[in-house]
Amino acid sequence: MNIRPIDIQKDRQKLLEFHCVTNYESSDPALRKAYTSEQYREIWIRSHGPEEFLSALAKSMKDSRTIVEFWENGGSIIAYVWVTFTDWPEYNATGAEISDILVVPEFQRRGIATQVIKHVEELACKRGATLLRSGTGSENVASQELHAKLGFQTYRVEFEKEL
Amino acid sequence: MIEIVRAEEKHVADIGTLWWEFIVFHQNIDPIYIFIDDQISDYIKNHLRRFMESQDRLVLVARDEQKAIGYALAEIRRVTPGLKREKYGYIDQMAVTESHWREGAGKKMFDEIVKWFHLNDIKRVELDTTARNMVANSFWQKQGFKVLNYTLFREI
Repeated sequence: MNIRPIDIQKDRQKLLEFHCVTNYESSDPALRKAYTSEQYREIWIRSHGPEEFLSALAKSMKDSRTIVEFWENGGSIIAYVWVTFTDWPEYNATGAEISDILVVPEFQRRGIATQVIKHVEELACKRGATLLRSGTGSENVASQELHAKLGFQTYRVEFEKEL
Repeated sequence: MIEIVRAEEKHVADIGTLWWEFIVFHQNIDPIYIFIDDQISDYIKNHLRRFMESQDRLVLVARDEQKAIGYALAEIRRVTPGLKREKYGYIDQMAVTESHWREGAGKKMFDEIVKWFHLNDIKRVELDTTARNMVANSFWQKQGFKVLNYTLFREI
C-alpha cells in the first residue's frame, strides 16, 4: 500500500469524483431517492460545487497540518481522505475533522477504512489535535459500527423533516 | 399567554441572556462544551445580528407577559443548483428558559418557523442537537423529525 499526498491540479478529476460520491452518500434520503448517484454527479459537476470544493480544499491546504491523501494499491487509488484542523485557542484545544473519507467499492469490507482512520488519528495527534471528529449517516450501519469499534462517541445528532 | 413575535432591537439583550442559559445548559450535560467566560457580546455581534439583518433568516422571540422566555433562529440554505430542491430550511437555535418548559413555547415557535418556511417555498427542514440533550431530542421527534446523520468525536 502506498500513501501519497494529493496534487490538486494533477488529481483534479479523481478528487471531484471522490468528493461527489461522499457528498451523495452523506446527503438526505429524499435526495438519494430522487436521483441515482450518476444523475447527481451530472448535476453536481455542472454546478458551482466543484469550484467551491476545490477552493475549500486549496484553502485548507495552506494549513500545513491538513491531511489530504490518496491510498494506492498496485498503482490504483483505493482510498481518499481529507482532514482539516481547527484551533480553539479559548479552550486551548485543537480539533481534527474528517471532512471526506472514501474507500472504492472493490476494496470495501477489507479493513481499509479502519487503517485510514487509525493513520489519520496518529498524524492528527502528532500535529497537535486533541480531538478527532467524524460523521456518519443514520442509515449507514457499517460506518456506525466502524466508528463505534474505533471508540468514537456521538455528540451531535442531525434531524430532518419533510414539510 | 405565550405569544411569538419577530425579534426587534429591543429584544437583543434578552436573547443574549437566553443564549447564555442555553450554553450553560449544554455545558452541564456534555463536558465537551467548555466556555471559559461569558461570551454574550461576541454571540450578539457575530451571530445574532447576522440573522437579524438577513432576508433569508428569521429570529423569533417567545414572550409571556411581555417577558422574553425563549427565542429561535432559522434560515434558508441553498444546495447544488439544478436539483429539484435547491433550498431547504435550517433551524439554527431554539431555546426556552427552563422555568417555562412544557408550556408550549417551543411548539409555538416551531409552528411560526414552519409558516415562514412555507411562505418561502421550503419543503424540507434540518437541525442538529447535542446527542445528550434528551429534552431537545424528544421534542424534535415529537414534531416529526427523523435522525439524518450523527457527528462523532474521539479524544486522541
